[in-house]
Amino acid sequence: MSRRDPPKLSGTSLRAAVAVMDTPVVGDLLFAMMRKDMGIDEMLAIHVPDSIHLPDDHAPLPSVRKGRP
Amino acid sequence: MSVWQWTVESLGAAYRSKRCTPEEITSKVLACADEAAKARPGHRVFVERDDARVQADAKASSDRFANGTPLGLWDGIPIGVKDEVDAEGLSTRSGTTYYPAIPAKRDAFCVRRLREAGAVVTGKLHQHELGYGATGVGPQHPVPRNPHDPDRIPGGSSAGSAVAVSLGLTPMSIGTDAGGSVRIPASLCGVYGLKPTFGRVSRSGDENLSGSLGHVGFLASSIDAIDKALVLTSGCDDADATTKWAPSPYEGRRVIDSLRGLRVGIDESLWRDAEPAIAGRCHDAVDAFKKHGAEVVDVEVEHIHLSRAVGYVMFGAEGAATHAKDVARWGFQMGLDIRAVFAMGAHLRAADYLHALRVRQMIRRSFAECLGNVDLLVMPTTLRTASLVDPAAERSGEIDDATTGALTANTFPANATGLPAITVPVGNDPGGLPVGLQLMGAAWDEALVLGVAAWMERAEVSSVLRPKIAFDVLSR
Repeated sequence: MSRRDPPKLSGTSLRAAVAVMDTPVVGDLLFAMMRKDMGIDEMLAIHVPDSIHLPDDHAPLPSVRKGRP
Repeated sequence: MSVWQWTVESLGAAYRSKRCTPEEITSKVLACADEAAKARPGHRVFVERDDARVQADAKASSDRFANGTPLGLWDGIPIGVKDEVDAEGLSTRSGTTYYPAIPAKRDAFCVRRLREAGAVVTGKLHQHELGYGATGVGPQHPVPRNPHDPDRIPGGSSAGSAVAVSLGLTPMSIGTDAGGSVRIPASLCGVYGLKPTFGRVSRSGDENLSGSLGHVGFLASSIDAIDKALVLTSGCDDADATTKWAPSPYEGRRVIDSLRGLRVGIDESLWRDAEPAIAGRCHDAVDAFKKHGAEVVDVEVEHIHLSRAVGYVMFGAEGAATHAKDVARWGFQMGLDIRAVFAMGAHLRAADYLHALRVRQMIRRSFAECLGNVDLLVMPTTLRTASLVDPAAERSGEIDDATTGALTANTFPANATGLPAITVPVGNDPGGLPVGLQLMGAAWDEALVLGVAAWMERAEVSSVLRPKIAFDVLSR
């Protein structure tokens, strides 16, 4: 492995990791790593203005076209 | 002119001119599928078939043509259905080998509409396990390799749906898309793939799509096939309340002869991480838009970079809830990637989920505002072309987050917002791998999205090299 290749978990070791994922301490640690990698921590830290309420449903929001042909 | 000779339209014309019959074509499709599955590495697209039913349906269609009473465009057209979507008589195992093989008692809404119009369901197609992956690779079934390079992934999760079209086995396939699962494999395999507006097509008959991100979609060798499939399958279904949101029924794409007056938006943040060859092909398409009269403007969609994280939270939490019993029963058989997503989802706090919903609402507002100023947003569908199949992923599950991230970065926003999006093939990279350009439109405006895509097809802005392995069923 060259220095530029990041270490990669083998299938076996990841399987072992997943097996303990649901346990409190190890699971929390692994989850913390995943959250960081996936950008979830950054998203959870974003300030949401009070004017943004929980949506009533998931209906797509319409766009109001602004004076174009 | 389509880049494909084998389309729903060309096949229908061949039936009407009595050049061939649905029975003959269907027999060839099944034989070609068997031939493709035997290749090494293989392209085994079907996970289940009922050849006797297929032949019976094809014979009924042939009889209608012989009697001068065909049902219309779809009569006798072979189509494929993603494994997780119910098709009567075939089991719904969602890309797993652990779900029991119990034949579905009825068709999903979208399958029923197509079957009633005469389409012949050829079988259930391979997918990434439970739909939770972007590569199509995992331990449940051998992945059908990319027809443009058999050493490479097809993309997922609707992997078999894309490969079946790319190989020339079916001119249209049904897929589903909760984070890019129609558009990613369509882009990597060089075919067209539409995710409609959330609520446009009923999800009844697919239990995996019960969350807030999943959509039924279509992959095809022509835009007209997707357009006509959407006309046929959209509309109200009492079994899916979201289908009552549409302000008006979908009645077909706009016919666009000129792009004059069209405003196209580009958010640079969605382009800068694309491989140079991908950015190059996509910019060529944008240059063609300009040359034909479109106005191309820079835009900035606020919070767009948070779409993927929001998607993961929704995906993980909703998946963990939907599949909690499956994890308890079959977790030890699941791919590692699937277990990891569900474990992460189970660790999320309710407060985190609700926060993500509010961030999602901010993203939705940003897109709605942006699409008030432009007609379409365009971007590379994926930031990478098809990567090599990783043998470890085949054994244990896809754990390469860098690949998954590069495939889903630009597709998640349309799921977070529910907006319609299509991938259009716009050429190949220097290695011959297809490149897709994604067009995103305003809510319920599939008519414009498909209209511009059809213009690209007709003006040959859309292009793709013939796959290394493909069957010309009409000429065999």
